[in-house]
Amino acid sequence: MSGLEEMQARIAACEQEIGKEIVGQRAVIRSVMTALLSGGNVLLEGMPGLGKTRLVNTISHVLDLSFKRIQFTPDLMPGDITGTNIMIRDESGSSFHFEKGPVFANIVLADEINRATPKTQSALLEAMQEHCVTVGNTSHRLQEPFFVLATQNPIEQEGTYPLPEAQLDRFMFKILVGFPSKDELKGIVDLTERTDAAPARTLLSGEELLQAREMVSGIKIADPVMDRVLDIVMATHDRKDKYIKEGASPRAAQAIVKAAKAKAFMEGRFNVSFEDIQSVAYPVLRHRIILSFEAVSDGITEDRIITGIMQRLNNAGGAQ
Amino acid sequence: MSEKEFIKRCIKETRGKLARAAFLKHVLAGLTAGLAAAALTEGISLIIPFYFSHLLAVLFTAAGLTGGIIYSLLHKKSEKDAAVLLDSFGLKERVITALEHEDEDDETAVLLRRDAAETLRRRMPGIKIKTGPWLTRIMLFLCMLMLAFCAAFTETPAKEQAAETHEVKKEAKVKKEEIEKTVDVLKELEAAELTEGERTELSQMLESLDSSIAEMQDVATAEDLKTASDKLDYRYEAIANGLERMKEEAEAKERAGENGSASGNSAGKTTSEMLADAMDKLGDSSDAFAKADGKNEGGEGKDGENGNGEGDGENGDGTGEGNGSGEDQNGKDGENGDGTGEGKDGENGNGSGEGQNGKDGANGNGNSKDGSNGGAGQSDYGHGNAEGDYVSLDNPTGDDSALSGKRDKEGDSKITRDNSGIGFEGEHVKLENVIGEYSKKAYEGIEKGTYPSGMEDVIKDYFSSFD
Repeated sequence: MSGLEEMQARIAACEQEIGKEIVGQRAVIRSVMTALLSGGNVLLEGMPGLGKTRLVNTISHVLDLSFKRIQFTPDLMPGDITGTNIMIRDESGSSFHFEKGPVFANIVLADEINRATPKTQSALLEAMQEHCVTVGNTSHRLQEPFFVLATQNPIEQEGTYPLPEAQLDRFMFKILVGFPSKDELKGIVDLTERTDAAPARTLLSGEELLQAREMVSGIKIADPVMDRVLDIVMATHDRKDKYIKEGASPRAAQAIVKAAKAKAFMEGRFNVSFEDIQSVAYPVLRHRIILSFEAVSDGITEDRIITGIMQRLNNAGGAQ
Repeated sequence: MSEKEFIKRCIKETRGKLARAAFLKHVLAGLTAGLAAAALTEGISLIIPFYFSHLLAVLFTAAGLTGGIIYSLLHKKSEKDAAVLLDSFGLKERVITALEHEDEDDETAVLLRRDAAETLRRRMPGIKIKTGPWLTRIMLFLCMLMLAFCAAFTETPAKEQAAETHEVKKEAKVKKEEIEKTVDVLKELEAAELTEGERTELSQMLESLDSSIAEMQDVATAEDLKTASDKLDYRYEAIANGLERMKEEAEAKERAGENGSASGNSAGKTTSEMLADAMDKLGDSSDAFAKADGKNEGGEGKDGENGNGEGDGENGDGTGEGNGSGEDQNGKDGENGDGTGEGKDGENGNGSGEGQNGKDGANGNGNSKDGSNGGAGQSDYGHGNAEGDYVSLDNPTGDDSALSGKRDKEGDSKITRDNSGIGFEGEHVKLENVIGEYSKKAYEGIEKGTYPSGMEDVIKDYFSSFD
């Protein structure tokens, strides 16, 4: 077995291990792992109590990564995230020392990110984009792998600061966390009550995760598949579609390719397929398409628009 | 076999099948489209007269076939197409990706090829490339074929009309070309030395021919063609007569000034020669000119009236050669020549005329009226070969021992005929000539618009009934 295949097997094992702690939510786990492997950040949208924190905690444990959680509130300041210079007095005198904030971790859970002020949000978003924070005149590099998982509550919008489109674009995926089915809910309850459940094991290190990312970037993609990615993104800019106000950015095309490679890797393949593209297009595009007033008033969702685009392109591809 | 070779072989096989299927599909589509257009054309020709419907239908079908072939050649299936097709059988783009990265040897590319080859080996037996038949397309093709054939072989009044119109137009075209040729010949005459009146007449001839060209162009029905042809015949006749007259006048002038400088063009031809040439040329294209030409040639015979008798005058050998090969009326003009024309032609020449008219050869060789002392002639009159029914008495005293004519028992000739005096029967004029004169006048009247409108056809019908 080659190094690549071995890594594929280990990643698959990690996914299974995470599944032991998280009942159901297979698609969410797969999406989060995909984002992790492709170096993207994830915005989770769902009701509280669906296991988001547990999911991140488990991932950090299985991958042997440091994990910090930040609960975003309106009074949260940027320094509370990035860290701040504090004065230290000792025998040699007074000096400033940089006290690292919670952002200095491999995995950061930004809970209810939309409750903080835009200034604070932007502090985190800069870290997400640049993988470093600047305090005073000094830039501090964040440790790799760095992964942000932010959550949003779709219901309570009062007193929130919705993320601007430009900042939403920094998230590779927007994953919708749905309510579990009855069986899954039973499993969740059982898991909470059980005392003999074996905790998830650590199967991979941060270093190995970075190696895996390298391998993922080497996954091959054929021209027709790449064309499909471009067609999808271009289709979101169709001016004739009255439901789309603004289409996806070029970053969306990059994100689809990266994510599709990661998905193919996780499925034990060495090439990207049309199915991979179709599968990752939803979480990549849904927060990048801005709906028009007509769409909102007609109750059209982003996912429905993406489905329409996929159907059109599949039909055109079939006709060829 | 290496994985790379195996993948290439699978792609090649698929490409071959795909190319054949695409070729058949496109050719069938092209043919169907061509046949649809052909059926439409044939269908239209059932209602609207259109003579070239068959030709157009064949062209449409051929264009459809050619279009199908060209399209399939231009849209040749590539290896990538074949690879994508193979991938559509659940191979998740392994084959196309392996094909595109066949030259790479990194770990991922090698693993990809191995994966693609293994998956292909597993799936290949179940992969069936559909190369037809495409039932819907074939049915459509057959329907169009039947439709086109049915429409092509159904006879309708519109089709008959189209055929008739085509024939009429074809004939009109031929006549138009003939007129144009005549116009060209007449235009050449403009170089000849003509009087002002003759030039005016010539330009009128050209104008009348231009009218005929326009009429031939506008011909749409058989009736139109008949009318235009009638007018044309009349115009030809008028032109022929005009040219003949001009020629005679030119000859007269030339004879009058035979010791003076002969009029002619720069090519050294005299006007009469030019006119004769023109009539020669026109004689090929029209009966009217041919008639006039025959008349003309007969006229030459007349010139030989005095035969070789340079100075022999009246008593010469009368061997002038008229070569009057014209028929009927025109032969008459070979009066004194070797009148080989029928009828009364060659009256006094080598009268080989036939039938009733042969009687005019009564004086046989050299017995022209003018060369009346010529030798024995053959008379077709009555028993034929009668020698010299007409005799001239060179000895008016009554000594007839030198006569060679036929005699009866009593020793007298049975038939005598006077050429003058009270016994002279008078000139025989053929009925056609009489009708011709009236006909000429009538057509001139039509041209000038003398008759009430609507009567033209009645007049034409009347005179054409004599033909």
